[in-house]
Amino acid sequence: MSRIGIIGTDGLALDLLTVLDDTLGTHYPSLATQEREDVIVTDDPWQATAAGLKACAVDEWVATTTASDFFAITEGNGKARQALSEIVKSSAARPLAMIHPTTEVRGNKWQDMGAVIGQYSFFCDVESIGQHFMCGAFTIFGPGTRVGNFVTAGHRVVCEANVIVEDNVTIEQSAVIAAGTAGTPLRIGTGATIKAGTFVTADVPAGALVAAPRKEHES
Amino acid sequence: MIVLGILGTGIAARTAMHTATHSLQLAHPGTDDEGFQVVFVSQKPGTSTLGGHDIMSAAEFCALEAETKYFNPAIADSRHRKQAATLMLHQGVSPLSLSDPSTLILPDVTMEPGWLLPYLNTLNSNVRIGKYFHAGVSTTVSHHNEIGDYVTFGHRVACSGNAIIEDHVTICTGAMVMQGKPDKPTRIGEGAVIHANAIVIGDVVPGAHMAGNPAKPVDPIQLFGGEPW
Repeated sequence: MSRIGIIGTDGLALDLLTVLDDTLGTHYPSLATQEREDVIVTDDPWQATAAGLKACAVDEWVATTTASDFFAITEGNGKARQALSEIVKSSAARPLAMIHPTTEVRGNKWQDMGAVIGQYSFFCDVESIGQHFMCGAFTIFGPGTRVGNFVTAGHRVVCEANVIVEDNVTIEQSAVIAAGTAGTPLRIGTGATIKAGTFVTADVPAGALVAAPRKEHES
Repeated sequence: MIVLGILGTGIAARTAMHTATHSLQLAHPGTDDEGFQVVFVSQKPGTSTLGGHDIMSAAEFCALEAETKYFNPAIADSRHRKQAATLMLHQGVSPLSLSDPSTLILPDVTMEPGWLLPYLNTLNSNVRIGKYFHAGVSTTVSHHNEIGDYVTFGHRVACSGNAIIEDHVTICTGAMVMQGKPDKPTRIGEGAVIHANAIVIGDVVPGAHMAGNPAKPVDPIQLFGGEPW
């Protein structure tokens, strides 16, 4: 019997758990049919119990996993996700992509390494997606986009085309990254944060914080 | 052989490619997938294939021997789209509208041919749309809208009820047009550009560039050092 460990208790994780059978049926047909046990891996078991699931501490999970187990990290903070991935790296379990069944991946089939993706997202000819990528619902990633490791994208984020999103970048809800060209892609530097609703039209340096100007309304 | 030439090799063309087979089957029900050929038509030299389809020049495409030939101008710039479509019509090639199976079109929608609806587009009732309408992913056109010719929508554009969108208008990603009244619809003038994530709450004069919430006229040269594309 294989176990599936959902590490973290993010809202998106709980959404995806409700459709876990369909998610596995779409992307892991062999896993969907066999007997399995779903556990929430967290050091705060209250949340898991609230969702009616079996909880398991992180240390216990690392110690007891076997090669037939899978895990997905659903922690919204990129840095925390990276830290968790370092901890569970020593265990025998393999990363599992939790891609909502309504998400559409067209053209180039990128190799998913533990991606967690919400409903109705759209990936068209995306070149690559890094480790433990996490994104919300209704996101759109266009042709020629390359996404690094531990990248987080909120709901309704759009990366139009030919965008390079480097490691540990956070893009908040409704932000739009304009299209680059194939020769000169638009680059979002390592560790940068794009605040909600921002329209990014130029390269962003590493570690920068980009926000739309916030103004008071004249009534 | 039934041939579809997708004009352009850019982002729009790569998105359009995935809706081609479905749209060809709608036009020719019962034909095998082997009976269709999809090619890209481009003036720019470069690689010879894209996504497994050949790239040819307009002259090569026009000279191609085929039972039926279609084109779809998958070019985001509305002026270039008009030029390319006019050229193909002169050569006797007919337009094919491309839409995805996920497209939701409610009753009483009138559309001129040549549209491109790539994924999850919703067209509400009582909508009139002009020729070569070009939408992004997950756009909404609400009730009692009148959309002119060569109009371009980015991804996630939402157009509320009672709006008139004139010819050659471009609405960029995530922008919204708020509703007008039945006796006084919101009017977006010809050739206007609504920038990404802008929210338009009133009429827009022809040719204006609008940005922000609520949207105000901006100078594109100051904002982007030129046109944003």
